[in-house]
Amino acid sequence: MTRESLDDLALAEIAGDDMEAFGELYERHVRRIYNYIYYRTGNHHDAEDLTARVFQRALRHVANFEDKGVPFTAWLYRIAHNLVANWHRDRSRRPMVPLDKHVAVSEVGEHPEIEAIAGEEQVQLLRAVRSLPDDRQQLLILKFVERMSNAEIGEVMGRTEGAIKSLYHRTLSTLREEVKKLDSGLETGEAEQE
Amino acid sequence: MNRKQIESLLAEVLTPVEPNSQFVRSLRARLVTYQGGGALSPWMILAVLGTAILLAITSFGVLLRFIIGLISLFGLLDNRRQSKTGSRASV
Repeated sequence: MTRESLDDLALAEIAGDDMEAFGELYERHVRRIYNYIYYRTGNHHDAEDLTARVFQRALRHVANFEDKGVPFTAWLYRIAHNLVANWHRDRSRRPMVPLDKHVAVSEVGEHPEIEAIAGEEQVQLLRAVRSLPDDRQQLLILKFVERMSNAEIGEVMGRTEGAIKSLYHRTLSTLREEVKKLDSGLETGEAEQE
Repeated sequence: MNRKQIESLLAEVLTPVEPNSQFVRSLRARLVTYQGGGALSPWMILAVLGTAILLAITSFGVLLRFIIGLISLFGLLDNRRQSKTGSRASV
């Protein structure tokens, strides 16, 4: 049986002594861990640094990994979550996501004013996302970037599917409020400038 | 902005990013090196223990020789003193 055909838990069991097995786990999960960290830190440099630390820590402790009914990804996300939390704590100010790189202005050929409005909305929304508590940011990243279902997110975050559903609804309501606040703040600023 | 609009905007904003392929490859290589040179390698532990025991034995041997040397020196000095005192007494 090849390592590629084994599932994550079977690979994790042998990964302590078998670097090829750990390599297979690495190939399967490096992109999603990188994405998670990238959206939590807001820049590629720190995302690379923290991703490297996640896998170094995972390699150090994979021999002690126990199958407790949660997916291996959940274990990796927990390591990533802890390292990102430490990273935020170590910084006096929270760096902002380089928004301009993310804002995918919809279709080429649209009127520039419409593009600007659409871009502004996305910028506001991303700012609002970045102001959310850690668990809500994690939920949105897993849902939209990783396209995970509520049940899968629940496994990763150690909550029930119902709890994730309810947290998601509350997060959307908070986002709506935040965007509204940011919009009104922007309009006030523009009016003052005029 | 309603819920659907927020969801569609989130889907546009939170899109997967691809890490630099060179970073992915070099990190894998670093992990192999890291495991090979890991402090928790059983061979490494054995080598460190062996070296520590050898060093302890060697340093204990050196210490013993030093103590024996000191005792011999004191004995020699004491002998000389006694022989000098004995020759004076005989005169």
